[in-house]
Amino acid sequence: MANGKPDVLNQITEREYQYGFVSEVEADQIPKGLNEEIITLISQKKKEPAFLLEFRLKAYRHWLKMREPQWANVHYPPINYQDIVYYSAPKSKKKLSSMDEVDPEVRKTFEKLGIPLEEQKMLSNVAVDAVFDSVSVATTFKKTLSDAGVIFCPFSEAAIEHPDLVEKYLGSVVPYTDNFFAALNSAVFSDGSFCYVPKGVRCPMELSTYFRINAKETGQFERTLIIAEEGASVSYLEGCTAPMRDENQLHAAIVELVALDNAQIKYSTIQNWYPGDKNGKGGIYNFVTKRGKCQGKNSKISWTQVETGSAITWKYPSCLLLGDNSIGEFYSVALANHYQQADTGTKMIHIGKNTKSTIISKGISAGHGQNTYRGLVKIAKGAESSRNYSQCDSLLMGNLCGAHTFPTLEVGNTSSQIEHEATTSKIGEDQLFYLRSRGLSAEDAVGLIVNGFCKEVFQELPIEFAVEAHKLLSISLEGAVG
Amino acid sequence: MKEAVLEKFPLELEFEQALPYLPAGDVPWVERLRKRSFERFTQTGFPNEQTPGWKFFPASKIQETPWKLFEFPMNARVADLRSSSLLAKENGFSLTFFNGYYLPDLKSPRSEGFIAASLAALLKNNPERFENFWGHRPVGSLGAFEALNGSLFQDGAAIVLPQGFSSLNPIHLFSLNHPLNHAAMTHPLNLIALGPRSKAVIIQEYAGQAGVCLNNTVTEIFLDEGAQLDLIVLEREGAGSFHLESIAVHQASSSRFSVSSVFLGESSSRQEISVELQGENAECQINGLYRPSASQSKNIKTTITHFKPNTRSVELYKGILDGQGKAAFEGLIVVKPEAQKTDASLHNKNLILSEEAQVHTSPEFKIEADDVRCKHGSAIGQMDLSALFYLKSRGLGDKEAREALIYAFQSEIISAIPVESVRTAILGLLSQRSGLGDLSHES
Amino acid sequence: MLEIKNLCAKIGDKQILKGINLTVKAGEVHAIMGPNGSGKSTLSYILAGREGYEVTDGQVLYEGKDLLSMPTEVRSREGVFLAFQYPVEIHGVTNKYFLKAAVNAKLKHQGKTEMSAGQFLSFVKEKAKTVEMDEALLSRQVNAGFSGGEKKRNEILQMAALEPKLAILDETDSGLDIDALKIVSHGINVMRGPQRSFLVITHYQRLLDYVVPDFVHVLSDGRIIRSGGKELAYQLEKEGYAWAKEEFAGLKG
Repeated sequence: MANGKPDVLNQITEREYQYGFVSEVEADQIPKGLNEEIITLISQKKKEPAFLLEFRLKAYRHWLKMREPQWANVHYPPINYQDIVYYSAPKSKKKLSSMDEVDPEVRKTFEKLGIPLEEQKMLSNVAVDAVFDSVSVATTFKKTLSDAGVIFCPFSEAAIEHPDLVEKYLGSVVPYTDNFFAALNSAVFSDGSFCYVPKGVRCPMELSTYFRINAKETGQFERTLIIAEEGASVSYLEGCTAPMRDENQLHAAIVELVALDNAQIKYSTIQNWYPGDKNGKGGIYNFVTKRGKCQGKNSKISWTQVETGSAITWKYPSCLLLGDNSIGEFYSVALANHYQQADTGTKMIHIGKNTKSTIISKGISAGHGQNTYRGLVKIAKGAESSRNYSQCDSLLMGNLCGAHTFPTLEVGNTSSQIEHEATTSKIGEDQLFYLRSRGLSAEDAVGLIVNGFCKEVFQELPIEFAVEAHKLLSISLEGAVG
Repeated sequence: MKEAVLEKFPLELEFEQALPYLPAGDVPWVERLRKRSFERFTQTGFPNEQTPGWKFFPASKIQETPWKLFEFPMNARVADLRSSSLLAKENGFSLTFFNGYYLPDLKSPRSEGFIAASLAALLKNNPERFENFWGHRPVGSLGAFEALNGSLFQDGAAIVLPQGFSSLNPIHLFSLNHPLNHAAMTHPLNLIALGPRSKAVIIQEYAGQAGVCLNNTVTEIFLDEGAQLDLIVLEREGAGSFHLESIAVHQASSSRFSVSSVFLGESSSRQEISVELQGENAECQINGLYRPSASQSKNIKTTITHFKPNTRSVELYKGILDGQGKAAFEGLIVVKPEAQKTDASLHNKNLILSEEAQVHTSPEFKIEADDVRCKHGSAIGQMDLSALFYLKSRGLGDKEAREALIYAFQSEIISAIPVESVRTAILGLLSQRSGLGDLSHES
Repeated sequence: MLEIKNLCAKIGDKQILKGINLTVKAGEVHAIMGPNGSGKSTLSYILAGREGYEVTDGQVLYEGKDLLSMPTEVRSREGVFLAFQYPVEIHGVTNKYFLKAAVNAKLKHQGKTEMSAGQFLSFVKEKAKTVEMDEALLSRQVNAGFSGGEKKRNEILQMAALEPKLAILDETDSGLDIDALKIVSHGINVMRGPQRSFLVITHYQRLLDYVVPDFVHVLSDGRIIRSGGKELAYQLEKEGYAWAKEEFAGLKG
């Protein structure tokens, strides 16, 4: 018994990050720094249409006038935005015509991460877009998808092949003026995934993007745009890892979702960026703006996230419920171990009539971790008969960590209802003893309790990834229990 | 804000002119305290509707108004004023303040065995007694209105109970404001100190007529080991007035504090409560009911900090919003690393009765200890239609059924008020407002 | 099977056990009775390995091995089972999942192949049937929202699945109505066998009407003050613990 807590809690939170290797890949990098020339260079490298460069420059000029947000419950030294490489790509000798031409080192990297890029080796019902540093290196199952009419490709390809769609929807949910990091991303975003599901089509497989930061001193600024036309539905999952490095790296992404009448988008994230070592050195700053717009009536957007990585997480996947009867959901597990800081939550903005939202947030704090839930539920005057239910639970492991809950609820009419519940608890010694007296090791006992705590969120994940999330959480907690 | 300083900070002139006339103006530490507090006020400036935690409160209206301090009411007589009290018929110990000034009441029984008097008088005669409490008061964390109170306070109640003393009857602090033909303000400062294992019930009643006035009260409460205080706050100030009150409670080990606040006035009001559980086994219970209608706004902000192990806090605020009423509730529970075995609960429930009403609620936690039981909840909703239907199917008219449900909603707060006569008086007031008979006897 | 020699233990500064001696052979059922505060629960917790107790003297041998040096989970995998007086709730985890993890931990410990989900399900359903438990219990979260009786029945179901060699039942009868008591006792009785020993800790003789012990011991103030056959339980019920205490004092004097 150290510090009055079971030793078992110490050991589990001490394990090392498993995806921290670096791949030797020759990279095409531009110089460090940020100015209009750099932005123009990125745009040229990607052979973008003119409207995109214009969009980037407008965003950049706006960004110059903005200040970094200070309100979140996270602390980090000032970021020097001129000391970041904004574009880095594995050097390709020629244009890829098939999977076999992917740089073997890059392919090996993804294989090591459990994401084989050969279709026959993959889970047969998941299409993957693999993003390595600033660019997409491979997209699988393109054929199967295009037969169904679904466009799933790297963002930079979409900008060239489907400029009308990109121009129509880019920035329509998250305008570049939205916040400091959104403006930065809009200026320098390098790649990401684009998905368009046409009217009435149910996407025949899970879509997935796997993000990997490899190069040093680079930032990753991807941009994802998913559009589900009337009656369409799609389930999308992203995963992410990065090497272990002593310096912090910046990841500032934007995700925009648009759901039209009767459309459904399910967006799941398993975020496992390098969290820094157990003394808080290194790790990714994960400053992300994610927002979905339920534009059409009866539309539904559902966010599920399992946030175990990153030194700092700052993200609030939100739903704008414009269409009548539209539904927004947010299911989150956020873990803050060692010196990790997580400030995450959601905004549910009810505008349409009879809209519904559900928020289930599970925060786990261990070591010196600081976990904050921050949420806003706003039911506008015209959003008659709307409902929200929120539940925020915190689990504390050890007495050096912190759990914070900052929900804000507002209702502007008499026919709507909001309900919010929150609890804070710890793993009881009696629970540990009970499980161990049935033969479970201390680590398994903690894993069992934690997974039980997160159950309501895990069951929202696509089945292929629920198991992975389960394991990931146990691994990330190893060393949290002694 | 810098520009504001250049063109003379609001109220600066008023402060300079009033300073020599404020009580104990010649006592150096009091003067220092006032000046430091005013300096703090110039740092914070007035909040506005965009200031975090001040949503829906018309603070900018306060800023725009040319306030003057109330002058001493020369011709007021307690006997004429007491009738405005909801508790006029009570004959326990009471102190009456008119436009912020203490008026001696010959009919009130004397306080025996404890001190209950005008703070201004005590401060004049015995300033060194208070130096410990306020001489070194840190002003750096004060909010704008607390700082303003610290610089301009002119009177208030001082209640000091010695060790082991138990006050049998409630102590009634009655504050009545009659607005003048100019915008007038008052900044009462109350000190309540309970010695070890002493016990008291204190009622703070605020009443006032319609008109532009500002009552900015600060109450500092110190509870020594094992002391018990039940506080009742009853606000029914007049339309057009602003009611701000800040209650700061410091609790030693095994002390117990409860407060029940009922906001029924037509003012725009704001209550800030801060409780520091500084000793083991200290506990507090914070209850409140607010009922803004017309275009009033009610603002509640509470902070409970658990510093020591085995401390408990229970908080419940309920709001009923009608007309264009607005309310914002912000509750924060802080559990410091040392405060293991903390048990805290924080709840806020709101009933919205009209399309124009608005409510904002934010129950917050900051938890740094791991062995704690904390829960919070908040709800915003409207009348339960099935319950309404049920009552109507048993023969109640629509209005009666609605009032019955409102009665049920608020009864959780009212029934926790520890003094029966106050409960009855409030229920009377509530049923008078609804135009129905007294529901309390039907339940 | 189990040999407790002069076991002394304290919590903080408080000496709870003051020299317990007890030998349990394979197949025997021993009942330990005693008033509140006599040290019954402490004894069961120490045998199962709960933290917070300091063994100041004595030894416990289980199948000839030093039981006290084994971690809690190893004791369980070696065949020691404690049915809790107050079973603990684990939210979000189903009984099925939990029991499978426990059974497989034991199989792995024994160097046997672990069971697949399907194998386990038919195994545990069979077990539920033998102890006449509703298999609906399996799909519910571990003890969460269970009534007092359901919790105790769940303990018996776990015992059946884990097939211990030594089962310690800590006040399993407390808080049970007569029907639940019968079900629980039935579960225990079908588990009785030549290779399995029981230590039944109880305050009342009531349970012993259904689970008939081979030996009864009276625990008082941290010592076993009297041992005998099942008739001792009836005598205690009739004459109270004071009688046994007096006699013990007489013996010592």
